[in-house]
Amino acid sequence: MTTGPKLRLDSSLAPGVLAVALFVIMATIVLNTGFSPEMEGFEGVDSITAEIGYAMFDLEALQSTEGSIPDTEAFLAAFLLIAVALDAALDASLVLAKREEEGEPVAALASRGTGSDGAGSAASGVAGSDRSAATDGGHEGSTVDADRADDPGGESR
Amino acid sequence: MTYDLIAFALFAFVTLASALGVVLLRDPWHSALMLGVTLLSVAVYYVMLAAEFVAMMQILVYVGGVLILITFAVMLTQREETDEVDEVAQT
Amino acid sequence: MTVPIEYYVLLSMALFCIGLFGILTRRNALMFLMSVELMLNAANINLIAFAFYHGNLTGQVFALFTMALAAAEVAVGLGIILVLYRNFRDVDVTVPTTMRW
Repeated sequence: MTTGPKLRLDSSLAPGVLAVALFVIMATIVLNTGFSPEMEGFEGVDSITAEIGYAMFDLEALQSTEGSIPDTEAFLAAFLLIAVALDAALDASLVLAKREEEGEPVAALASRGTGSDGAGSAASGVAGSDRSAATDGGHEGSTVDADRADDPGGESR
Repeated sequence: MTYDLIAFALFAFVTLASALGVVLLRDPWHSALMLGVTLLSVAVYYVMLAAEFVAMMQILVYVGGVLILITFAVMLTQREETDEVDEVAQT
Repeated sequence: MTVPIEYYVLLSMALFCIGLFGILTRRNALMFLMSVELMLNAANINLIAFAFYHGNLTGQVFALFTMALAAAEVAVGLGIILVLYRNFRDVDVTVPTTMRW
């Protein structure tokens, strides 16, 4: 079912007025600020990307001292902080993706469907306990349920 | 000389119109598409401002990463809200 | 090269105000994330424009850092939104009121 794009243009008068008022205030401030009409630009710089890299990794010996850009500050500590923050974001999203199933945590990266799929056709009754031990994080009931080939992963995924 | 200004005005129109589309469209999926248009047109300003590396990173990180994540979330959470939440969200 | 910096600043402020309007009006949590992306892009346009205006590369490096932080923020935010949808079957931000007080 495809629907055309529809605008919603109702019941947002006060935030609209507030946003426009904020824009008018900031525009007034900017238009009353005297910027010099010409931009300095990056004249005489060989490679802006290389200069960004030198500044980001604190390679002072390679930074160009002549040319139009002055010495850029060193950003190695900020770079490492951002790297640690990205690691923390990865861990946080993994923790958020983990769900609890009847008091037992099921990790997001656990593989449940393939293990029971391969063993499902081999035997039916005896290998049940083995399969529940082999699957990651699955418990007994869901493994027996996953014995049928049409329901490999459980319904809550 | 004036070509820069014309190009800037054109892409400013594209950016602002698609940003208004992001906040005004009713379907979150359409909003995600409009967000992609906005992010791509923002990359054009970076090229005009001699920041080619930042423009490439904008396209790679935002359009290639953030927009794909948002698309995943829109598709994962859109099962039953297309009928119900629309009425709720209008109020 | 000859576009004055006022135009860039006006454009970024318009983008910021559109994002603010989106945050104030929408109740879908996904729309919150998209509006926050708009506002972060407005800040990035300002950083790059002033980097070019002053002929200094610090603004460009800072814009790269802002992009990395925006990616991290979107990853965590989407995780939170998916948990919200799993617990409440909805992404409306006014539904989860159990953590109030």
